Amino acid sequence: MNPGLRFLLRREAIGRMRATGRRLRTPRGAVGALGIALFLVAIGYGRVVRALYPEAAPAPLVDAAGVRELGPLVLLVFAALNALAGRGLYFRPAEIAVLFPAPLSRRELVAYNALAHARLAALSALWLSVLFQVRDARWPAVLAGAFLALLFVQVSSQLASVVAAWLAERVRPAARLCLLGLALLLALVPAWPPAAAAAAGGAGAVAAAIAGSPVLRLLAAPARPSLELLLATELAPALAWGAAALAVVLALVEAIARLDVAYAEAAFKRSRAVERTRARMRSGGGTLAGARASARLRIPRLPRLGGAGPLAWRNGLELVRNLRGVLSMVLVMGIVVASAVLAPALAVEDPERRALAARLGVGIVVMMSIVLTQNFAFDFRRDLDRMAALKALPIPSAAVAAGQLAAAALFTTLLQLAGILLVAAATGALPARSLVALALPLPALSWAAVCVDNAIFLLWPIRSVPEDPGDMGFLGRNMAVMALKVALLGLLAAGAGLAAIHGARRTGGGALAVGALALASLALAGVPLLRLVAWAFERFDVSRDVPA
Amino acid sequence: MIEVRGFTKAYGERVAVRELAFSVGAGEIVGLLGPNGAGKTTTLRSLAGILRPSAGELRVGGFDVVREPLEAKRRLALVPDDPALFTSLSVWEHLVLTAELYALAGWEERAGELLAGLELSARRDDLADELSRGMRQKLCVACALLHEPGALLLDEPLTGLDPRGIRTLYAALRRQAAAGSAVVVSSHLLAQIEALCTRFLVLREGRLLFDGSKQEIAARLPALRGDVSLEEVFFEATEGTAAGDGGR
Repeated sequence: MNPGLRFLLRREAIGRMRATGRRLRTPRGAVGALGIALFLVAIGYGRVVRALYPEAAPAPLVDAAGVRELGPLVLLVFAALNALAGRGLYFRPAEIAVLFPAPLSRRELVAYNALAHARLAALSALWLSVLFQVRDARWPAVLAGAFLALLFVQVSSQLASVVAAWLAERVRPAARLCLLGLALLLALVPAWPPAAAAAAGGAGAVAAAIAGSPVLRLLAAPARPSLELLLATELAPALAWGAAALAVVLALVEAIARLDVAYAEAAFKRSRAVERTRARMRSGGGTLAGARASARLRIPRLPRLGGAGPLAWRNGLELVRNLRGVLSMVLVMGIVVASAVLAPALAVEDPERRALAARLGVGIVVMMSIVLTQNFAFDFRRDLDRMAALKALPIPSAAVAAGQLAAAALFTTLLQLAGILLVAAATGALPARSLVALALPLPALSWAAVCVDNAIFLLWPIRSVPEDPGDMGFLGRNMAVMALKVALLGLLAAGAGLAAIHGARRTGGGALAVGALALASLALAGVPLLRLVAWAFERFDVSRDVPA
Repeated sequence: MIEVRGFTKAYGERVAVRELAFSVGAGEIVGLLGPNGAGKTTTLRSLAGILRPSAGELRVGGFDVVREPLEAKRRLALVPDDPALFTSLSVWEHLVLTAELYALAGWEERAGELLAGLELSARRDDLADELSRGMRQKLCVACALLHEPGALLLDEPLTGLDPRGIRTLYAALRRQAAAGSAVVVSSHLLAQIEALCTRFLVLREGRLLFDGSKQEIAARLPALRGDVSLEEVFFEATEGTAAGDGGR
């Protein structure tokens, strides 16, 4: 490899370690580290209990058979998603500016790209080996196997992108679509009968049946060595599978280097697209801002309402114009709820089980909407780079806050309502009275969640995407913010409940009175929460508080 | 040093550059002019081997950029429009990296001279992250000049530079041209580039409209009389009218 590339890899690794050290010395970095520590303690606690009381502790969910059955398919899907997102051929702007015009061969660039991603793969493998325990597996083998599996995903997604570029140079778009459809048919048609037969067994059985498709098994075969290494319990097979996994990665690198394609151009185009997406995400809006907006959709103008109306209209407009991203998130939420709660409940005719599933489903919908507000930031978080413009508006800060938060709160409410209706329709276990009782507090709850989110953000601003893919402090900060948000909302709910019980005791009302008073308390809490956000907005200093 | 023959670049159905042909000799400083979307950046990126031409031939120092990319790239340098640098490398480490990439020997003295010439000596140990845009631009130029390229391609190099920075950059480019490099500069800052270049290539919608000195181009435009500015030549050449007459 070119000595310059070796120098760059070495210096970047050292530079990043130093930067992490510098970050940890800042208050924000310290809070991030605290979040990671809390997370590790939570994970480590389970591990310690399992080590001390192996009989009492539940066995790990993942076993060797499951890894062998579904693992290769999962890696294949990750590689495909990585390739579709353009990450396979991604080079940073500095790499394009400095390395692409330099006298470097394609093999050197491909190897550099793989090695540059190896650092991230090592970090991710460390996380995965701590998070997911495989029954009877040894930790070092899991770590090494996960590392090589992630490296395989990176290099194979790069190969997929290069093959796509090769096809793009030779085949017309319509013919490419036909080829893709044919490939999917070849892969999935043989799996259809066993998948249909396994439908009664739940999502896991269907996935296993699909993974058993001959074409998919053949395609996913190169992923097997890294997974066998992950499961190895003896040194000799671990070394053999490790060597095989490494050989697969090297073979893929060689295949990329040999394919007759404009590699630099393909990588340049992909990287530019990824950078544009990252820029949209960094400027606010979180992961949903990654999707390109459509200008076709419109919403009616709102009355001025002291200045809040135009701001709410603008946020609403951005929201509907990013519906593709929003809907994909709703789809993910729907799939999670359906596969985790509804499918098992619908498989049996047991009213009690259906009622339990309905309650669980409603709980998940409400909680997920609160958790997922991190990702549809159509509020102050979207305007991190426009805070100066917001502060310069001739509008009272409370009106600015109301206008900024209205769209997000309304959308959260609608999302929750849709989810609850879906659960009710699927289970048939939620009577109309329960639906009304559940729907009434949703606007106040969503408003409170969005207010808390934005108050935390304005007092402690962080970008909604990491500075780079290996920014572990970002993960820690998000963990800390989530913990704080859940704690504050819990306190708020507890306060509303206590106030309601106290009020009901004094007035001698029943359960209906408690519910009405709790709802009123929650709704009234929205006013001081809005004041809190307005105050946080007033004290936000654009010269000091906008993160890099 | 730079030869372009029948160069065409298409992105799908859209043709960005069509049948472009020109050459730049050693010691020449050529300005690449044209409105947005004229194909200037595409031409420079293709010459640098980043984009593959759809048709035609691009040669640097006698080597075909597509068939002999490594030989061609050893003889060229590209300063991109956005001065993207490695955030965790210092100013000096960028020069170390460049020297390693191009396998240079005994480069330290020249690197020191370049830093001094571009007024970066005092920032030698600062991280790229800590530099202003203008300084990052100058560091890109220093890296580009380190291996003494036969062909130097600069895409909008004046953006972000203060008047002193522009003067410093001009001096560096003139020195490089005097040392035998072929320099191609693309810029929208016509008043500034006028003083630097001796010859201009005017592009519009991917086609070469004019190739020559300011006077030669003006002589081919009947609407222009007397001593005209490059801006007037540009508007007359690209729009058929001296629309940018704010200075007249």
